[in-house]
Amino acid sequence: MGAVIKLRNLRKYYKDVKAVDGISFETPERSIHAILGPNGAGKTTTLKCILGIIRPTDGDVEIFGVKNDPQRVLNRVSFVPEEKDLYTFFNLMDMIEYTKKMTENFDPVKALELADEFQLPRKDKIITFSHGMKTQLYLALAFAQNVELMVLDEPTWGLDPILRNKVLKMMRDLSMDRTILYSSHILSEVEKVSDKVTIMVKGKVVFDGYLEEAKSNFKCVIVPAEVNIPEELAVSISMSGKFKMVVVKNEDALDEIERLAGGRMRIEDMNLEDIFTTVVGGKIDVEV
Amino acid sequence: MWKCEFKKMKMRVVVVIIIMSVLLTLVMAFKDWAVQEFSAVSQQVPEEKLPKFFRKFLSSKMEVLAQKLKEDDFYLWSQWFGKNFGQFVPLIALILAFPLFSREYERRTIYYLITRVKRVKIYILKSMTGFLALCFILILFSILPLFIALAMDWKIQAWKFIGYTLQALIGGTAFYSIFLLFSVLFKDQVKPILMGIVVIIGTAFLSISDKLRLLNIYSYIMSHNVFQDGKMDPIRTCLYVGFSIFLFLLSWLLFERREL
Repeated sequence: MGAVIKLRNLRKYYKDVKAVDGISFETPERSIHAILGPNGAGKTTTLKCILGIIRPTDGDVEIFGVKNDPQRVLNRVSFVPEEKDLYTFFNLMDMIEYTKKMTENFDPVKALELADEFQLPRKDKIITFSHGMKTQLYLALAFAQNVELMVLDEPTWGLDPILRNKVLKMMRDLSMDRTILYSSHILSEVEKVSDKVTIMVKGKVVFDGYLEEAKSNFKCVIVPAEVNIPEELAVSISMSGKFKMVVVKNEDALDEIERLAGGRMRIEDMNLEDIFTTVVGGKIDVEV
Repeated sequence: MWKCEFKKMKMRVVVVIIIMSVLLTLVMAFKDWAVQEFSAVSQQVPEEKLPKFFRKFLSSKMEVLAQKLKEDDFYLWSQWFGKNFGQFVPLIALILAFPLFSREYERRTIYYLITRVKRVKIYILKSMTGFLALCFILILFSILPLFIALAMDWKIQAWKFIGYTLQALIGGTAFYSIFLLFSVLFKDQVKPILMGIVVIIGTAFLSISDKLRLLNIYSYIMSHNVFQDGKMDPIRTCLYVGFSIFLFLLSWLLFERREL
């Protein structure tokens, strides 16, 4: 699988604030790639740099092989921003009509079908829409663009669980022939749909890899408290009563801990939330 | 695309047209009354008793002025181009220009546009839509009084209206380009309005000094030279055209590099 997006040492500084600090990752073709991170991690800034909404301080952004010129590939990309603001004096039909005129490769029939599926009112002005309804309309407009890449910033924020699942299913279906890069801080949904995950903390990438790979590599090992575990073997070590919880990221470390503990250990699988908590809380750079 | 952009400014254009139509109707319909009142005032109040600053604004003695006002040509120029319409041109430019970009920033709809259409196209679309609306309004309210005057059988020099219209257009465009720059620069709608008002008031004050005459776009729009000599002011025309082009280009460069 080739990479649709390639970031190399991307930096975005605002005076002394390092919003994005030298990150690199790739988004594989026809996959769902999630950028995860706590508030202020630099997720939105990264997406804005990719789309040329803001200029990087340094580094390269390559989309479809075009380096540092996102304007050239605008017609191959659809975007849903963090703030789902549309023209409030339009109604749904006006908005679809307007989008048809403003957007290349836009399918108004599909947009209307999606809006109907979301049960959005056709004649009410957008000013009367709730945040969730605006999000649904924005998604309908973005999903109805026949593009190769979709960049979605918090696409399910403000949606109820049923709608959220519906949107995630749509994203899954669309990823059959499109690439989706999206940001979220809802771990459960990322775990449900994503192929690849990049975790950002304070402008840096602390984890970048495939979800399945991460799940099989990261293991939580529980050993008696008295077993001495060298720090370099573990991603994180925490105490829990008479036991130590040791997070490791490879088989070699696992073998070494088994030797040190003399077989007195239990291995547990980790879900994305555990991995996220470990790499974010542990402040250790991890690459799979 | 253009139609949609016009739709966004439809309300503002309609409001401006209504206000200007009301003003034009009042100016033309109340000519006799206005002349009569001014004559009465000029007879009752000796000019010497008027405050100094007020006398400075009167180019002729009051009785002469009252006499001249009876002439259709002078009345129409002084009361429409020199007063009502002339004073409204910068305001019309401000009303049309200030929200073009700043509203999109403030309401965050700029993200919708900027990820669909190239920046250069957005800039041309927005700046030209406002400019065309401005031209339409200025041409309409420069030419309309001519037709009404002709219909009312007023004695006027119709050819001078070409000069009035062109100077209103060029002066209006100069103001528009300043306000367009403010709209590109500021991320909310309040600052471009405030800055625009400062510019309008500041420009009006420039008329006090002869040395700053070139910077006073107001006096140019009011077309005194066209009425008096029947000619446009070539130096100021070139200056304002150049100034407007410079600001259009500067605004584009700023928008192209704008971080959103």
